Amino acid sequence: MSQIKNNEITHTGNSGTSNIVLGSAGQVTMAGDFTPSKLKLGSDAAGDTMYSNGTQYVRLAKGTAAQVLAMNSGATAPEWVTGGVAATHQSVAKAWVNFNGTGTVAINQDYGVSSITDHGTGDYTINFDSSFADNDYCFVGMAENGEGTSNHDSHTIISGYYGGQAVGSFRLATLRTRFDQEPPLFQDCAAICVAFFR
Amino acid sequence: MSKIIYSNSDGTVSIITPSSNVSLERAKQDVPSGVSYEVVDDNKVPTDRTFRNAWVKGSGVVTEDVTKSKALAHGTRRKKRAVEFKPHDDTISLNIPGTDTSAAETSRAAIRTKYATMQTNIDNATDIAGIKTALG
Repeated sequence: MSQIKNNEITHTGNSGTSNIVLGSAGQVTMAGDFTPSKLKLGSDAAGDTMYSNGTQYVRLAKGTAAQVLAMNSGATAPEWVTGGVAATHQSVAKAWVNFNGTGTVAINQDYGVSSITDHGTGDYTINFDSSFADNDYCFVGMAENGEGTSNHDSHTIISGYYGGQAVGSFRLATLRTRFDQEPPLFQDCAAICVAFFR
Repeated sequence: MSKIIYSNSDGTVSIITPSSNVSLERAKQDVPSGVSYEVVDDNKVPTDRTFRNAWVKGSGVVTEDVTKSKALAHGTRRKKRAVEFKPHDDTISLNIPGTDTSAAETSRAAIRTKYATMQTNIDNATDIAGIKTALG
């Protein structure tokens, strides 16, 4: 049985009595669970979510494919971000690239890299899609034996240029070293892999 | 696929390969500030990098400079010659017992002749193909 009186609706069901109180400021207070089947926040779309802004619950429009939910920089509200935690945590590479420095220089795969600049034999700059905050980032890299043979006396090392570590790019040299002859030489390599952490 | 090419102050050419994850417009930002550049197709850049450091920028194309290529070829020639000389040099300079120093000297003379001919052929080459042929 339901009963309506001043600012209050009382419903008495089989399991007892529940009240819905309409406050003078427009608020609604319920003694029981609130189980709406068609709650609307306005402009709703499939995939939207809802969060409290401290005053009321508001709609967060859905993100795009592969985005993840993260807290915003002010730690006040959720937001959709690309890459999510993986893109910001210090344990994860901010940029990496695997490229072929022989023939027609080509990027095989990359992340966070806008381009490769070929300056000469074994001499390349990796340009970042987004600049680092400073030059304190770490780089690691490795390159294939550039002689293209199974000669185990020959190996390739990667060296950064002096002054070549900039916030927006990194210049490196791939150098052939041999145990059996000759000093190191600049050498193109078919597989050059470098990653950057910050 | 396109490349972005620009000349450096020392006459060399730099070639930018854009990532497939960014637009060409974004990659253009990787050209040093104030430097003029051109966007060219891949086929406007040589694929044989033997004389990469002799490449120069032309109008909408990257070419191999013959004079610079000859200088590089001579460097390669000297390195090759040194490698061939080394065992015979060791034989003579160390006077290794049981070795035939006169045979080593004969071999050195043959190497000198071989590389002198190569030097002449490189100098006489009129194009890149001729230089590569002379290098063997």
